[in-house]
Amino acid sequence: MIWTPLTAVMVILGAFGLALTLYTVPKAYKIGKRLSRASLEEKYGLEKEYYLLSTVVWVVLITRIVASVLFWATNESLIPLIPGAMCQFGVNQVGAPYSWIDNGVKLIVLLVYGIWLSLDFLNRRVKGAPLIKALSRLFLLLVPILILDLAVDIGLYFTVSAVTVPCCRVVFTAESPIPCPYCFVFHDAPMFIVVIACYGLAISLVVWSFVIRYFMKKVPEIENVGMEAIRRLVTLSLGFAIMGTVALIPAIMQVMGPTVPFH
Amino acid sequence: MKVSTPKLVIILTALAIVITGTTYVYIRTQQSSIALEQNVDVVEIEVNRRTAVLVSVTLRNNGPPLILEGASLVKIQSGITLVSSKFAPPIILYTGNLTRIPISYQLDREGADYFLQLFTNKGTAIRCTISYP
Repeated sequence: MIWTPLTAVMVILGAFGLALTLYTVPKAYKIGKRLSRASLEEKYGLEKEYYLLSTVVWVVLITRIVASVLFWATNESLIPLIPGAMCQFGVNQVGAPYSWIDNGVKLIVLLVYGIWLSLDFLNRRVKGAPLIKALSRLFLLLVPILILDLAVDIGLYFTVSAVTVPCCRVVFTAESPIPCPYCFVFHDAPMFIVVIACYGLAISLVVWSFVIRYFMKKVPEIENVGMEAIRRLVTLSLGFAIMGTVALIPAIMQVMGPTVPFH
Repeated sequence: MKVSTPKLVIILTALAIVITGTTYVYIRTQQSSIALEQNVDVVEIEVNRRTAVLVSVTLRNNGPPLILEGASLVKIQSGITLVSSKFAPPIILYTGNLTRIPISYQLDREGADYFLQLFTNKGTAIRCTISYP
């Protein structure tokens, strides 16, 4: 393992998230299973338990979203410490197979965790909190991806060491039809980080609004608050898409490069 | 026709992907469509390894005299032209002579492969591959 402030933060966030997830899973299971058949008194107790669960899940999911941003920064910071690594491709080679799985997981983290967070946000604003059971079950559905996300993070940063690796020049040669995505985005056309982040947020917000629409059909009590939330999410999504489109102009200029002085 | 906001977001995202892809294919086609000079040998490439700067390239012209107008450095792994410059005044490569072309291009410290392209006034280029470190 290479200990740097960033890898240490990633390991701590991973261990912290794993502990909290293991704490919340039995509670979510209990609420999801018992709520519909519970007596009034028991229901009150389960609702109280849900609010504790909800707070813990917010902490877990928000720290995972922060960790997904830190993941790219941490991998970038490891490049000079690994002989032969020229970009994040080299870091991923050292941390394989955890690194490659982690790359895929981190791309969907915001989209998936955001669904739960936006629904819970709605649930807190509606009288009677009608989504408690659905949210407890939804959290249990998220658990496999959450555990995978946490486990591969811990696995990756314990595996990465200062060994000599072949980097992207082995795979992405002059004949390759596609560029090395890490060299392209993180080194030579960094405006694409802004473009990808903006479009990623825009798509995520649209997906969250679709999920809210789906739950509005199933739970009519959330209709008023849900409509307002959808309006806001969709407007925000359009804002991010426009920001992405504006950022695309300097990003394309970076790809075009400086004017080549030929006849 | 009224387009809903989610559809507009998806259309904008798809357009961005298409524009980026098309631009990339266009620049790769431009780079590979330049005719290469056959009668010039690259004798030496001088790199300052302490500062990771490409210092110069030495060429031998085996054909008729050539005039070099400028140079550019393309990173192979990303396909992007990182830097280019115009020679003022242009450099003449005389037949049979060794000519040292001073260039000062910063290379990635972590390392990469590059195409150094030197452009002639005929619209052709001399291309050499540089692997650093």
